[in-house]
Amino acid sequence: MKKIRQTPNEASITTVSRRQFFKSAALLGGSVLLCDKLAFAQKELDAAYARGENPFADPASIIHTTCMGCHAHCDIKAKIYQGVLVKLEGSPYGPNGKLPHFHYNTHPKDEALYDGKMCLKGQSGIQVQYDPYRITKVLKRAGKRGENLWKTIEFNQAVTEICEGGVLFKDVPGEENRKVEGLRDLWALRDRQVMEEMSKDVMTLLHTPQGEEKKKAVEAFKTKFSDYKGKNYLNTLIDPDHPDFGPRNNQFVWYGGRVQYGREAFYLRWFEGGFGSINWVNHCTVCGGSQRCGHAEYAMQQNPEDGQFRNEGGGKYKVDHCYFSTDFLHTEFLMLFGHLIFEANYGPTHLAERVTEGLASGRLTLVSVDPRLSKTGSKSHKWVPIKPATDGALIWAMIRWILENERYDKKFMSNANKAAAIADKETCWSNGNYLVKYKDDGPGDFLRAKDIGAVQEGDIAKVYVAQDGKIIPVIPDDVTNAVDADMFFQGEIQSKDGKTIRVKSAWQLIKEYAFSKTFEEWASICGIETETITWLAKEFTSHGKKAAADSHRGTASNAWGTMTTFSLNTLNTLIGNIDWKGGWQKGGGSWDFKGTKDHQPYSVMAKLHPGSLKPFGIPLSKQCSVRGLGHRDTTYENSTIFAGYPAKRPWYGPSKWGVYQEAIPAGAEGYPYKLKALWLACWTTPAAANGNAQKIIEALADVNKMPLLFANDIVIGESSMYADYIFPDVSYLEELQTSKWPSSNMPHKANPLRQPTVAPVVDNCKVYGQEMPISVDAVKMAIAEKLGLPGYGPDGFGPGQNFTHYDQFYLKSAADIGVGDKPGDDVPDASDEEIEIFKKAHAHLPKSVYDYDRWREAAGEQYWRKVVTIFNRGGRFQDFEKGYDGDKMGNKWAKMVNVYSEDCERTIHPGTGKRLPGIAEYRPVMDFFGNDLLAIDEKAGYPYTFITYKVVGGANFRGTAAYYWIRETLPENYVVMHIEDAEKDGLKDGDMVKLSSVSNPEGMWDLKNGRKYPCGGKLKTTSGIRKGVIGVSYHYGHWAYGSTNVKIDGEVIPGDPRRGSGINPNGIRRMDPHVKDVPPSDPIGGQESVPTKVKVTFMTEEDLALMHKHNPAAFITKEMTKTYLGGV
Amino acid sequence: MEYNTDKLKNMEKKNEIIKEDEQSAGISRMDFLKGVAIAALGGAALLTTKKYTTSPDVKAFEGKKKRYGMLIDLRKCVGCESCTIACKSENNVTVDSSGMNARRIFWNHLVYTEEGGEHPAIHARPQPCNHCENPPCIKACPVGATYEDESRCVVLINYDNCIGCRMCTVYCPYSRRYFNWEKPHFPHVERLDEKGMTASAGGFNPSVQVRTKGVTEKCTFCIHRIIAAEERAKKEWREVRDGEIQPACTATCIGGTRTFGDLNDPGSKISRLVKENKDKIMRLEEHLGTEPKVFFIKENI
Repeated sequence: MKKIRQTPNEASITTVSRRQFFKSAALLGGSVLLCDKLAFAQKELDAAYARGENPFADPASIIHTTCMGCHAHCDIKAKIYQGVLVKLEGSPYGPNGKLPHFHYNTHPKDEALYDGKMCLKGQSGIQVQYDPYRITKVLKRAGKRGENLWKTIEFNQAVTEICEGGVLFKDVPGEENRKVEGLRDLWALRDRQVMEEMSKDVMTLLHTPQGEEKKKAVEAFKTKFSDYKGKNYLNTLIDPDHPDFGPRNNQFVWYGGRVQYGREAFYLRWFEGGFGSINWVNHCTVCGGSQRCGHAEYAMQQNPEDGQFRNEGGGKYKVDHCYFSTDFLHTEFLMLFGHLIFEANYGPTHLAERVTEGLASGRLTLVSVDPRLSKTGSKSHKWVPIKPATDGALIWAMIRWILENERYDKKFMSNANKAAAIADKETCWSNGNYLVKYKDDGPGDFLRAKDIGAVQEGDIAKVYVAQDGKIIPVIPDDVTNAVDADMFFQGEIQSKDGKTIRVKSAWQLIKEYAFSKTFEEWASICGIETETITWLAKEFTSHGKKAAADSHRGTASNAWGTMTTFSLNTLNTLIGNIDWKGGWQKGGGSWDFKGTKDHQPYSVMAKLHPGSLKPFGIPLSKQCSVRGLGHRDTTYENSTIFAGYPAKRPWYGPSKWGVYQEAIPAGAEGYPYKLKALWLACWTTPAAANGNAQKIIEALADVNKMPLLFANDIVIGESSMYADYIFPDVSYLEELQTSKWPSSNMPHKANPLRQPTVAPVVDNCKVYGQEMPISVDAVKMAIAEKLGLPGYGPDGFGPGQNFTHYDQFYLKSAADIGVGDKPGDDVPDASDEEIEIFKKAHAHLPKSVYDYDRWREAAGEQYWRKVVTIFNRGGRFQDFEKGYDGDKMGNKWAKMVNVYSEDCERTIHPGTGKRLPGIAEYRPVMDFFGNDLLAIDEKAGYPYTFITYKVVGGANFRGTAAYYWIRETLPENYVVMHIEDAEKDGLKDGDMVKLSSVSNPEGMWDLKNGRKYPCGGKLKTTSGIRKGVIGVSYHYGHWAYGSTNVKIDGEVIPGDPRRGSGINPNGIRRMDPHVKDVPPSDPIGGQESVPTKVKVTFMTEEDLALMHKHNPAAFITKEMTKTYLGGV
Repeated sequence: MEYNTDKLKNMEKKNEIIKEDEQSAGISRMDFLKGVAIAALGGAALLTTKKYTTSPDVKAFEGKKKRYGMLIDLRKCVGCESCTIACKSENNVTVDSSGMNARRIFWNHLVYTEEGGEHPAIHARPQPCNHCENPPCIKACPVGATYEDESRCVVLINYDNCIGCRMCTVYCPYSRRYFNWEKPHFPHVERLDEKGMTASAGGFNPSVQVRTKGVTEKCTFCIHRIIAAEERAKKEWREVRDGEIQPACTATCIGGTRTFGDLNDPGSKISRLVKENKDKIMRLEEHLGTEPKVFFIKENI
């Protein structure tokens, strides 16, 4: 009997669907449990609806957490039904989830009724969580690297093998006798005091002049530590003749992908404080490293104790800031340099609405500077189709016009110190007026008191400006004596030993550089008409402070990205828009989640890490310091392997995050030293995402270059497939971490929180007697347990404070956030009702990831209710109104901004031996020897410039493989080419083409496991790209990630080739012609350069045969998508 | 909206309520069978007696309790497809395995128009079902599986009755109706037993019925969310508040483009926006007389 059903949601489920599920259970074999569960669920639901209840209106069926579809950290909530995740929504508690977001004290009962906004990748998180290709058990390779022959191995056995080493692969042909050094061998230096002493002496050694003095210092070091505290410590070093390499601990390298800040803190505590290795490498330089560096240069501040300008990561004068962006909600004129606010960036979910409101109301004029017409570009008022990597030239053209027409904010730019700024109702001032001394080869450091006379007390912080033509001292952070200065000045002053010093103000240098080319010359370099540039400059200076020039990667993704981003900031400085509503902002920032403030209970990285080690030595990627911008310790010039110019491999500017494309090849080559063990985790995939992907594949596949290689991954990925061991990892919907904002495009202070929403699908392991899901955190704790690393296990946080489950770390961090940065800055205590909601919402979680008592004890009884408040909301979020303060931003920078950088001009390029400029001059894409690489390749017969970009469905490289729904909207990506270029070359839509370059003339991917196929796919023509430019997006072209067959324990697990659809263009990226295994890279920020000159040719019959065999997805998709995501 | 308090006191007696609603909506089993007979004779008679508005002006509609509609501001649409994907997740929509573009099921679909030449541009227009007031799909259905929920002015499908003839997919001028050619496929819910790959599965949104091969489906304006809000309001002895009902697409939209509400309520946000933007509003294929209830604010050209 069937009744007419008014609404499809009721009943019918109890008849048709149940039948359906019983039938399909047999086919799927093993789905009986699912069927029973659902039938039960549906009966319950019928009853619930009859009572007028909607299960998802109850806060007890919702867990608030944070997305990780990209790096925007959007605030989301998970709807749980019968212990299973069934839907994800945006969370209106957070500024990403609703505009404006709910007040923090909104009761969860009220918030539960409202779903916030969420992008398509966030919605697809359910497909990441329940991806059929997720690995649940530990795998060990049963064949050669990359062969994809695996066997399951018990967790403890895998940890033992990695720690103890030995002949681990005797069943693999060619490795029968290969002995692997385990981590215990590499954990050579374990004594904290000895490490500190060595570190101090190495620092002294580094700063000792080259030649005899340095040789003597090395000998002294060796003598000292061959018999120190009664032991010979020289064998703990990588090379006693080169103490600056550091201990052998440094030969263990970490590569992290989308780690995010809470887990990063956990891992750094382990990697540096526990294991004592300096070689923490983050993925930054594949995409954003130089962006951040350019902003970091803009943000340098003076250390009053030594008068130097730095951007320190910690310590008394910590600045630790590397991002600035626009106040999107109020700006009136916005120039975006490759900044896809509707498609990528950090991220569309919160940026879109802030901008679309302006587009609809007419408040905003939007400009998109991009070689390609993106969707963002299409909605812009003007698309400026710039030549790739010439953004600096456009910026300098604008700077020139603005200076020539005097349309800059004179008042702002004349302020020379904080007091002058405050007097003018500004919060910031620039260093543009400070006088720069000339060296023989050009502008050098700022003029300082020591240059012109005896230094007295209080003189150390003095710099100099000209005021009405007279040179006077000024202290940048002086709040009492307002000093206005001449912007443009050049003159002379006598040094203390009677020599003449030529000085110019930084603005003078900027003006001279801007005028070193005509307006037409600048325009010609970037390929934009002068009328357009005039319009841009005029508009930019016609909206007071409510204008901004912003970039995400457009200014950064080339070999001069730091300086280009720095020039963007110079442009913004001309209108003095920093800290103003509608202008430039530093972002809301976050509460301290590491507990470093005196007021906070748990200093999880420092005070609560007994016996922590402090690593030292030259990092493999050879950054000049890990202490922050302005420090120069491990420079090439300081090192014991200095051998003149050019250096053997590139050395880079200061950064904590390493150089992603460099560390593996450097370690493979052994410069400065060999890599012995490599740990890949958190979606890191250098074998696919880096420009030198092909070279990295070669290195990873080579057991001699990478003796021990293990990974955590949620699937068998493009890079982890080369590992010796793959541990599963929890997904972002299963993990626990407290975190902070990644960027500055959000004006509200906030700490997103991630917490387990459902029981992890991965197997459990037991560490320190505790059950926990196999994950990066668990493996770290297991290795700590096995080796006895300091700071883990019983008394791991200190006497009587055990560290036996990873969640104890994050709960303490959450308590720190709950307490806030100072007294009175705490969140409200959760009521009894909220505690009940918390308990109910978490009741379905297993003890391996959640235990009320364990959590409460870890947070501390007195902080527990604050922690519950935070967990019930998915983080801590500043209320909307606090983001603004009258006509200014609520969270202000209120410090100096830089248009001249001593850090830059003190840098000697390791390839050319020449100093870099101190102002943000323009350069084309240069190779290691300073040659214009794009011009060279064009002459060699490669006519098109390749660029890449992101589409809104993709986010990072991992992108679309697991996103089944998104791949229905865009099944593959294309080689995008201008329609007229295509016609000229006899190409049309749908043609199978491949790319080739000087570095890869054959245009082939070679995965070093027998799979070799062309780097290419279908062609798509469009008017929406600059002529002469080829675009291929990210995210596609997976060769693993469930797209290919693998064998586990002898059984074939068939892949789904559709998951491998599309093109990964990194196979043809240009390598530096002199270094050969890295792309040309930014000498300061380290970012790898993307633009590559390529040819586009038809695939031959042979090519097509290889595609059919090794990359058949292109032939599965029957038609081209009529209009593809990302352009016309 | 009137409440029969006796009715509410006996919420357990669901069947009585349903029957009463059926009668008030004017649809009964007999009507459907009549409809079948009429269709079989080749007639194109309407199955219900209705009055229709012919303009976007808000008019109180006789006999209707709610008249739900949607407004989409194309000035704010950034073409991200978040609405498309949220809808798929919310409504347990299948993943197509055929690889053919035409077989994909998107209850909400983005239609792109490209402009080439000197000033290239790409325009995106999201399209849910229009929930027409003169719906051709209902006329097409020979068994009355497609019908109008007249208390809410929402066009729905009774999957049990659908015989899979696909006439409705042809009749709809907006191509908003989809047929399940294959057994629906849900990679995040189905599982195969594989060694080393035994990752456990997710689940369906239990609020929405899962369809089978051989039936047609389409956007329901998230009727389950509408009912949930109405039931909650009933329980709290109040009207449904304007803005309380958010279909999944409306909630998820990152550009802030969508407004959902009751066109019969002159004070609702949608009624207000339709009125305020009269000169910028359009509906699709108006000349066909389908009386769609999805309104678009045109882009600033």
